[in-house]
Amino acid sequence: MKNQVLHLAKLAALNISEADVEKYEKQLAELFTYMDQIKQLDLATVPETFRTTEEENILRDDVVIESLSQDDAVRNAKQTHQGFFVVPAIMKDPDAS
Amino acid sequence: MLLEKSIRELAMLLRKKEITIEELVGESIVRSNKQNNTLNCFISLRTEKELLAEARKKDAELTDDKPLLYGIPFSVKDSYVTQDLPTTSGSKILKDFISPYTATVVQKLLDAGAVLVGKNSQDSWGHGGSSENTDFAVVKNPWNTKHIAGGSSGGSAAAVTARLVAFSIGEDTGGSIRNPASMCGVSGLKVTYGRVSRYGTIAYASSLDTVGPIAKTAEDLAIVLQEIAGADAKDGSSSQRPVDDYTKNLQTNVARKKIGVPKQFFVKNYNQEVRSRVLEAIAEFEKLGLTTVELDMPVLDYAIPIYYMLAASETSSNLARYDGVRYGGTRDQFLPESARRIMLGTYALSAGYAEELYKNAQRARTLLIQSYQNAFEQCDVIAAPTTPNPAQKFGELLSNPMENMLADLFTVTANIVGIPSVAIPVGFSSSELPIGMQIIGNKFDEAQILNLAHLYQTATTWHDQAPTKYQ
Repeated sequence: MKNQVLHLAKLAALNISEADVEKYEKQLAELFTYMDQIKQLDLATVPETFRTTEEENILRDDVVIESLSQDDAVRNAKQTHQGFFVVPAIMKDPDAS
Repeated sequence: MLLEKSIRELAMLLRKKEITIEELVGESIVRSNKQNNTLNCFISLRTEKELLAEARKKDAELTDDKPLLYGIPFSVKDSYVTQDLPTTSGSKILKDFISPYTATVVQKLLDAGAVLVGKNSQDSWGHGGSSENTDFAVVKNPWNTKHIAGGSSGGSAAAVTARLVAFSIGEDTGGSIRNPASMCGVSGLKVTYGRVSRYGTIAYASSLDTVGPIAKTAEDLAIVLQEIAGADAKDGSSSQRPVDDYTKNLQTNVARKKIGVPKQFFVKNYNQEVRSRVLEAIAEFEKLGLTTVELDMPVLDYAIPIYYMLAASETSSNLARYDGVRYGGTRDQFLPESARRIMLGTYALSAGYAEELYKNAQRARTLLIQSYQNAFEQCDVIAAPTTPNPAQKFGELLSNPMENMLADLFTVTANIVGIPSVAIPVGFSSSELPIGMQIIGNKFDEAQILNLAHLYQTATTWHDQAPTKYQ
């Protein structure tokens, strides 16, 4: 389970400290055991319900409508460059070693 | 005190020029500034100067044809984005965030002339039933400041209870309006999924999130719902159905309606005072001419596992947007309760487990919907307690994730099924803490449940009770 907690934290981009891993391990194990009750229900032939709204796709004419300005859209970003968001690099610079 | 009065009474006094909006809004901001030092129910408040200037302008423009909410002071949970005040969702991840747009629910109230006083404390991201899971000061229960106000909309409920605002807008994903309303002794409405636009609501779990009011009475809830309900082009899940006349329907005769009482909600293993008060309230309804029928709904026993599987899955997806790039701080700032829910949801959605966990929970949701459909063939509304216990002392829920989860035992099914439920106060515990019950309705049946809650409140006085200190 310890590796599993670290794996989940990695998937969810959470930084879990070594000291907290044990605590989460115990709590999550308890929660998963509790959730397992769902297995007692006979669900083999039951369809899923993902949403309870009655609405179908809502369409509108493909015309430009008023929306956020670029300034407003980037106003809360910690780092911008010429009106764009600056994101962390996901590829390595091939020239760097 | 003006804020002791109902919205309709205040609207009449304003129109008769017996009071002014300046006096009313002035009372709200002075009381809010003072009481917030002990109750911590606001994360942000507008300045007295700014509010009084707005109030004076409104006084000059008040005419008889203005909406009932014109000039009425209100607050909103900090999960609604507003252009003029910060929006934190109770987390320091958003401590510097100023939204470039305003939530539809807030805009509709502003358009009706209501006066936004401030934004209320909450469990961060809606994750909790005690308002303790926060990076800000913890809300205290106005009835006893050693106890929680409930959550996650704890600040909204405490502000109405202490008569700091006339009403507040909460957000309910698994009970977050009804739970604190019950623990603070006020009324709260969870609407049918889609009845009120969610545009501008900070998402917790998108198939469960609903927007609704907390107020002193069912009549006040109806007046607020009338303004905020309806389709919104900016929220594709908002319902296109026409909006009922909720305030007119309050006068409808409701005698001979049938209340369903699910036996799974009245088993003996929770607080006996809660159970007794709710059964007494059901007996009161019988005195008022209603009948009851016992229901057997075995799938209710699986409500919490179904809810947590769905809510955790959806929240792990919704909260993925907090990456510190477009707005807000970094992900290491999530509190343990949120980190736990995100990891639980990540697991339920991960390759190899989604079929067994997430999809099975969606299948179980179908069973729950069918169970309610069958129930509503036998009755008009369903009665339930709101929380299994009166408000706990600080730390009792926060230190015990399992207990914290079970606080939502009676409220989560309305969210999973998408049906409305109104929570009303029905008495007190021996330690003088409020106890509440729910009247749950069929889809889009807000008028009927508000109607019945109003009937109860015309025959009882629990809704009139406020802690002496705040009267």
